Amino acid sequence: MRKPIVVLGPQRPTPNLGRALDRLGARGPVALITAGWRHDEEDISPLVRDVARPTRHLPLYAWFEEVTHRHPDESARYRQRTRRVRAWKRGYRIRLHAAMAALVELDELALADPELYQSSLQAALAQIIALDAEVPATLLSLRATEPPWTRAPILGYRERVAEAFRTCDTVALAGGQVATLLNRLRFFGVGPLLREFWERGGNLVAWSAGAMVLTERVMLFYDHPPDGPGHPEVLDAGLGLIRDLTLFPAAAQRLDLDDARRRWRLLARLQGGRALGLANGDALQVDGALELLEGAVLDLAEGATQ
Amino acid sequence: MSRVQQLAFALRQERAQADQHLRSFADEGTFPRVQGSEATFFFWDGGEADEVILIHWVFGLESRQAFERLPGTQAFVLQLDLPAAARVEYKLELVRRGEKHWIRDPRNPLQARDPFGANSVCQMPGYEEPPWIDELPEGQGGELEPHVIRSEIWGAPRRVVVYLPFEYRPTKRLPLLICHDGTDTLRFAAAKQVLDNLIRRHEVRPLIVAFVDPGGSRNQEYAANPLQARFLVEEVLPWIEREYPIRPSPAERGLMGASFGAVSALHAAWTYPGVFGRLMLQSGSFAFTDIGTHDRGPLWDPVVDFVNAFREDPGRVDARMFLSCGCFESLIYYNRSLVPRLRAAGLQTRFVESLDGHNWISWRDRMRDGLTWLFPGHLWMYYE
Repeated sequence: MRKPIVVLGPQRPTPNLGRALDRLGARGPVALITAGWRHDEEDISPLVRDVARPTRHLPLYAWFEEVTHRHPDESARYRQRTRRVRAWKRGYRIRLHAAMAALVELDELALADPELYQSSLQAALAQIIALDAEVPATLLSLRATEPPWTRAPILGYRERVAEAFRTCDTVALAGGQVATLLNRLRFFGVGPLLREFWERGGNLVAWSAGAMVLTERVMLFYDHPPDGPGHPEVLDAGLGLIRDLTLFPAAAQRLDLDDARRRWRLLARLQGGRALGLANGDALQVDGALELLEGAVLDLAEGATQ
Repeated sequence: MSRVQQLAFALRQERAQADQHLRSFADEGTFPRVQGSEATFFFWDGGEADEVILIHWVFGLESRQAFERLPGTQAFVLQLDLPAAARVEYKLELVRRGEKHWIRDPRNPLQARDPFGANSVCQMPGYEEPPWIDELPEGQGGELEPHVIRSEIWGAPRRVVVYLPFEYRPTKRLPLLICHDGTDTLRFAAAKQVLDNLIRRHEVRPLIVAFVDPGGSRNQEYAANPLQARFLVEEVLPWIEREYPIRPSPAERGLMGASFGAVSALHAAWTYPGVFGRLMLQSGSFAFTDIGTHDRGPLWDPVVDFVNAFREDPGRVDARMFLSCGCFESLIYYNRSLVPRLRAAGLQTRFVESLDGHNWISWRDRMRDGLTWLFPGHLWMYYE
């Protein structure tokens, strides 16, 4: 019998992971995945302290380095595969930025004269929605044949993950660099193992990037980066354990919430899907319906915390 | 009637209460007092003064601006129109009993330090100190490791301070940036704090920075001097690659400098093409001549020769470039002229102008623009 997934906001400055585990009634060992921390993956002592239970660390980032170092042929094969994915994503970004520039311009025109520009605005929006939808579909198909984890040198690592999931009653997925995290989860085929674990009743707790990768589609966002216009973009398909929800960790810091037009454009791209901002101290239980456990999750559609 | 006009009127009407009027004017706050585009400077220290002159380095404005004496007093005012967001460093020349003294504005607590001392600063509305210059709490920033390296080329030791980011691990190769005027950049442009903040915010990639000091003849060394180019490429670079884990690609190797330091950086990259793929050039002293000779003195001869040659063949550098220059510098003309040539040569170039002068704070304030362009971080990807 599967349990609701617990989604947390950023764990800095004040972590609430320990409380989330208490609330879940988690007693047994906790499997930790911190691949999003990249080369800091091993610096888990503060996390272990917060968990306050036996832990089992799964260093996917280090394992990836190990595999690619020990097996140059696997590494070359993987690079070749990644090259195609990267090229496609580059094309997506080029197309997206042109389409977003059109959307922004038409949005301004439509505000001034809706009757004349509304239909062009809707057409521009439809084009972006279609573009966004291409990302998960195309990337999944590009990666469909012979995923890395089916290769002999990688199977052993995957078995270690499976074994940890068998012996732990909770998996905790930390935030960090979301592309790296998702990439390492895919490389070792952790997605299906995680789903299996969750479906047989395991506890799943994730925060920030860790929570984003559990959704169906990961969206990158930062409204005012030092370079470029800061249009949100779809990174990839997520693992799909959390449905109909897009998560925006540290939304108050990363999004210009006072800019109503920006927010409209973002929400319009999500086509009415639920969009929630997560701050430090927030905790949310996701099980079809959403239940706020702690904090004040920001509903981007309403522009208000609840 | 402006506040200064009110004061002048009151002084004319009530001479006996002059001190009281001046004191009450002074006590209304610090100076320069800014309203809209007008900055009011005020000098009154109770002593006798012949004249007060504002000395600044704003190219395009009369560099010596005389204060006006308030009627029947030893107090002086000057009102200047300055653009929004402008930042002006200045001193006062106080003439007392025929003797001239350069002083900082005693009524202005805002100062900027540089290797020659400190200046008073006038900040117009719209100028804001960047939020990424604050010192991070202990344990959250990078480390500085001081070294002295022996230089065969200069026949003397040179001081190098190496910045290692918070994320530094001896096993992880990182990009490298070599910075001219090392100690001054750390001291007056808060380079460590800037790097700590921008790297922690993931706006800039973790990188190693070698802050290299010049010898005793800084201007000669940096004036497109072939010895300095050799020193950077044949001594500094091999040394740091031996001592630290540096990524071996030119795209991950940069040079930065300001003023003559920018000339030296560009000259080294041009002399040794394919070594440095990232250049950060601030207020570059890129004087050139289209015809005839220049009038900046013999120190500039090699600079002008080099910049003229560079303008003929900029593509040889093959680097991503960041240039910045203050609109209040005479160098703005040279920098603006260079940018189209760089772009025409196919060099990825970002050029940023500021309403500031030739000073360390201006260079500090543009560091985010430059570093995020040359070594962009993974800000977009981090959700902690």
